[in-house]
Amino acid sequence: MKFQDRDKFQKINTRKIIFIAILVSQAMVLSIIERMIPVSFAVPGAKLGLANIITLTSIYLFTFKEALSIVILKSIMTSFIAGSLSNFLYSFSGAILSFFVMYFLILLGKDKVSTIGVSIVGGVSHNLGQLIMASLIIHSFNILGYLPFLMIAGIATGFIVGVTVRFLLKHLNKIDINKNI
Amino acid sequence: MKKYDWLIIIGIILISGLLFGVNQLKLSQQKRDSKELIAEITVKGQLYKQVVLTKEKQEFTIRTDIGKNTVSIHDNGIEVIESDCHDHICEKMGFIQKPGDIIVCLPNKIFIKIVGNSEGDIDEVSR
Repeated sequence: MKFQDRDKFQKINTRKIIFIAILVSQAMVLSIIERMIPVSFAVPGAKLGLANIITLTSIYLFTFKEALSIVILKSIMTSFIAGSLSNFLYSFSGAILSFFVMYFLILLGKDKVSTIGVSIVGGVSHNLGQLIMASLIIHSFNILGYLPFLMIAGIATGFIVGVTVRFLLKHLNKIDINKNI
Repeated sequence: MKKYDWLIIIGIILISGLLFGVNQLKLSQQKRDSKELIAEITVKGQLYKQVVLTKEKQEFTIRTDIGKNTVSIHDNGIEVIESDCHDHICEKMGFIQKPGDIIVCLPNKIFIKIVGNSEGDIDEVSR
């Protein structure tokens, strides 16, 4: 009995680990593709935030721990492949802040706020986290004056990400990731 | 899109507008603070020297064939602290720091006037 339980647990775990790995690699690919799409002509420094698709999807699909591990892995691995240390600090602080904000927003009002609203809040808090980190690094809070522009850009990109996540979740919900093989 | 989504979007737009406004206000304040004034010192009707009114203290002496006046610049203003003329009115005129303010020393024919920097000030025009 005990052995069977462990067996079952491990099988589920393997399935989940693979799913998490796929999501992390997708997030990495998305953030590399994102660098090729120039959107920063209007607001320098603005990004599409495509990797946020994965973060948001994982919050909806997984538990807190699993989703957090996806976020951490995603930002570390992306910085390893394409980026520097300062790049990592910025993206990590932004990713962690936006993860917590989105997680608690979903926890508090899952049926009041759709994926679009959550992703907009996530995008804006990502920018906020990055700017706070940047201002701590350069010891000047003047760059926080840049936040309003990034916030407006964050609404637009967050909307795109939110719509994508809604379609993605519709299809992913057909798969039962906790199902035993 | 649910009702709260719209609330979030409107809220973020409002917050960013507010932040933008506050930031603009702060910037204009900084600009005003950093505006340095210039004092023109005229001796016998001719421009002797132009000095920037710094916050740091600096002193110098204007020597002419008539006499000498020691001028002190501090806290973005200027004052004559010593004069060898007989009435010492220039010393009594004290410390000036607003554009358009003047100090004169008639015996030594010295005239100090504060002028704004390149941006015209309404006070300067109305004076």
